[in-house]
Amino acid sequence: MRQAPSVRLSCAILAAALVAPAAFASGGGGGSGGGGGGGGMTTLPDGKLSAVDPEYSQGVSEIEAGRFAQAITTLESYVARSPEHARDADAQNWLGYAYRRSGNLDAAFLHYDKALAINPRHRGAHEYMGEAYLMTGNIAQAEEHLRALDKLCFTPCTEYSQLKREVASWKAAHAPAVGSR
Amino acid sequence: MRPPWAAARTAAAGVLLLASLARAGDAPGERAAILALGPWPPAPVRDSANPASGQPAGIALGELLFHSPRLSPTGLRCASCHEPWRGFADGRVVAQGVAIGARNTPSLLDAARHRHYGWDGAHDSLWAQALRPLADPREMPTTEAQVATLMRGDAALSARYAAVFGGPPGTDDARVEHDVGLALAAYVETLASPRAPFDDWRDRLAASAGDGAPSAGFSAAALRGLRLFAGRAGCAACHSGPAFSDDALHASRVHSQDADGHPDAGHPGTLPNAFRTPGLRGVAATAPYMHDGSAASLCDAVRPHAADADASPSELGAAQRSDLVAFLRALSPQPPDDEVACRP
Repeated sequence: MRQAPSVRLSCAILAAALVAPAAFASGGGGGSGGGGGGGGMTTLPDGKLSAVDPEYSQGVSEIEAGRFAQAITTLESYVARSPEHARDADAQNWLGYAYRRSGNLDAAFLHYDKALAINPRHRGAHEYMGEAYLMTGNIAQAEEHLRALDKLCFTPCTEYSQLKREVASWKAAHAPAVGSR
Repeated sequence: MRPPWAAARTAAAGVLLLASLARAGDAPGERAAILALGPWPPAPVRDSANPASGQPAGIALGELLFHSPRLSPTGLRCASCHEPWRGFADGRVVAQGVAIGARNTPSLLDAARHRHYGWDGAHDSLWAQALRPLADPREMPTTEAQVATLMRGDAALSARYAAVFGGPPGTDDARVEHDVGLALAAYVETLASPRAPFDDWRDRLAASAGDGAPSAGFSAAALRGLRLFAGRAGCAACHSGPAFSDDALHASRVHSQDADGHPDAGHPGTLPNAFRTPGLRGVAATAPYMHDGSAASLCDAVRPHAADADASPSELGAAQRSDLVAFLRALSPQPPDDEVACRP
């Protein structure tokens, strides 16, 4: 599986701070490394969004640095702090990513499922769930998430393009050799 | 430009509509029938025979196993068919594990309240039903030995098991698999439908604060649909109570076959072609419908489908079916953005 491009991750964190309302409206992003915009923020009593939570930011930064075990500890702490944090689809998606990169597919699937249960339109979680299914050899389920992304992306989106590439690569790698018996 | 009488006609129609709606829940029997569809949510259900039930460690173990690709050597997960983002159903016509099944995947939401499990009601305990797909060669087949080997061989899973059942998984494979079923059941017990716009409307009616008129999130169409549902359409005869299911088997007008062409007549020894009444909370997210997935949309599903004529009156018109669909969509906090106008 590909690495999380650090430049895109940095942009995702910056985007979360700058354009959170738009990101919430689109159901969060992903496509390059995890949750994308909107995660780590809460709605204040006056209806405004808080600044990005420091613990959330730390967890994402640890993923960016490849420190997945630390990121898991940090983000598990973040989602355990309150029911609202537990319902942060971006944080759940990042947790899934960190677990997947740590080789723990059980927990990765669990957190991708949580992200999608919170927000069935979460593009990043659909992409990563599809990639996790490819890791288990389940091409049919991976393609279901590709179809879900096709419906969600009215215009071309990186999550769809990335998963489409991964599915094509998987099929090429698992295609019967021509002329083989 | 609208003709001058158009506004008067609209206003008159509005007055008639409001006069009709204002009495919703006041007609003899109607109020009681509507109130019987709540309140929601009820108190959590616990299984006193299951040591994992209601226990955080047991629920967490069941949750991990439910989502794991390792429980079956096929790599299929419980959550592959009971997908959380699809209301714990799968969106397919019939289930697809390692082979095509014969029946639509039912949602797991509110399963803790069932007395019978599966479309045919073949099991009477949640833990036994949780293990059924592992034994079905078409779903996610595995063996007692494979499940027990997984639990014994994985240090993290073994420790979690010990925390729930008082010791690490032993050498009795059947016992270990049984305990896995208990843990899965403990998790599934926690899957409950959230409150929906209907519940707010119904609770206002119960508190006599509501006047039976439409409200935010519960449209005039939904209100008309509710009155049909609880009244002359007869839906509530089977889809009764706060979970919208009487938890009983009823003979169906829908006759289906499995992938090999054999008739699917339900569970042997019960009423022929009888299937369990599914609950309707969150139903907008779990298309297609019926035990064989033959109703692609809610508009199709609200056509008569019970074999008992008393519980399934004559065909409704498209406008009435649209109203019923509007009501059913109000049983979800955020129904999908689908077309809701039914065609004749």
